[in-house]
Amino acid sequence: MIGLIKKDLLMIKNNYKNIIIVLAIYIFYSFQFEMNMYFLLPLMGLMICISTINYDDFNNWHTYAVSLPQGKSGVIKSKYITTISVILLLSIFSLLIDIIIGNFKGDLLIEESFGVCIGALFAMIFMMSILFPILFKYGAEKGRIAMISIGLGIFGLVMLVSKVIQLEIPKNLIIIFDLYSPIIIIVSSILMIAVSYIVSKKIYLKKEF
Amino acid sequence: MKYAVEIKKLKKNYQNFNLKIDNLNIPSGVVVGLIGENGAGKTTLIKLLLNAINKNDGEIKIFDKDLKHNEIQVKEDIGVVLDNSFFPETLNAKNIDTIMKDIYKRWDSKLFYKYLNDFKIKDNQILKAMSKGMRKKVEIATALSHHPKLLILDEATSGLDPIVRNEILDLFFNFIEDEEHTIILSTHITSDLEHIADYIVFIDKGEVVLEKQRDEIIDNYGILKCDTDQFNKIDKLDIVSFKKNKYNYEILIDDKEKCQKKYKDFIIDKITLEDLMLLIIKGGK
Repeated sequence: MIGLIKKDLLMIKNNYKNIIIVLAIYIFYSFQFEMNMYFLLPLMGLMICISTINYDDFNNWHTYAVSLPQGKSGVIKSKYITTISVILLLSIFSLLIDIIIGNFKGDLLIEESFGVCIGALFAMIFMMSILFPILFKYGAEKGRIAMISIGLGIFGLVMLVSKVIQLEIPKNLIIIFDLYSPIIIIVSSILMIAVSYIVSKKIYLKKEF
Repeated sequence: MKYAVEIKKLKKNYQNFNLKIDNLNIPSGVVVGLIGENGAGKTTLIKLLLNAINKNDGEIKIFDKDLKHNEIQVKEDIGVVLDNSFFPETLNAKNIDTIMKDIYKRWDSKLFYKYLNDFKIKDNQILKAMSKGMRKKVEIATALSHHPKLLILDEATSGLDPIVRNEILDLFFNFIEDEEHTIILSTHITSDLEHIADYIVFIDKGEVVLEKQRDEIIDNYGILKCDTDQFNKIDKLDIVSFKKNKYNYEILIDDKEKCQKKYKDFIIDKITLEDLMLLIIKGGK
């Protein structure tokens, strides 16, 4: 399985120019404006990992991949490990850059930086958990259409629900979240990854190449 | 006899096509040529051997181990070259070595680089920038560099010029020198099989219609050529299949010696695997 992770990392390495461009934009914005761009680097990491799935499809890699000793399970496991590692690393990297720039500018709020960074990481894991089963089910081409449809569907549903029902979050719930937010985020992230992985594996094991 | 592959009551059903193999045993130490027209079921069989598709029923054993329950162990002994499926094109041979070191326990980097050197392939050239022949050579080097006992090749020589094909066939000859090594080779280029194959497995419409040693086919099978009058005199039991041409009949026979004695005035030509395929698929009975 390490070999399959290496394969994805080597493919990601070929995207180093895009990473450098986004990093430059990120640093520039962090210096110039009072705005948080934490999501930018992990989002780019997620997109690059998704592009490896697209590229795998394009090159008919899957048939060859499942003929290797690790089989279908290994392919799925390696994709999740690679993506989570890339997102995690880029989130930590974002945080480090923010700390350095914050120190330099003298406006560092470490708690806020840490909180936003965790939030961005959680958002990426949420996106990955939703997107990966769709991509493994429908492939890169159809998956892209399915991704957009589901995204719009969820957005539409949230808008509709929020218009029809005036939702107010109970104060107790906000207090509980404030107190236990790191634990809630970590536990829900692990749960999302686990459910997504199980669903993707089931889809991929059934899939024929 | 030791078998590399044992297949029993294998079934794979699709909407418009079914593969059904009751019994197929491939001995160790031989080259088996899989022949058949497009869509006959050759690639389906190969994919089943690699667990790339799920069977509906039956049993596949490779080196006496059930494939489904010993996938990792079994695949350590298999080298694969597939038609149109390999590493992404942005990678180069050096990357492949880096990856494969952690895929196969017995991956031999020295051997891999030796093959690359023999094939005059630069290890830093990406696959996208390689010709079809060069790319195929990298695929074959990759398939051979973890010391597999079984090579599964799906159209490994298709689309290559005769020089590259010969180089590749030489490699297969070297591989098969070890008596424990087995090759399953699916190809449309039947002339390659006439050079290298020990056994021929002919698949048609999802079923094995012929499974014999190549020499047995070449020695015993033949094409009897005759006109309509002569055709009517032939014992129908001697006819495997026949094809009616504009001026004559071509009859596939499976006992050349017997027919030579029985039909002394008839011309009996040697058979090629291509003739055999054509007469069985297109011929009447």
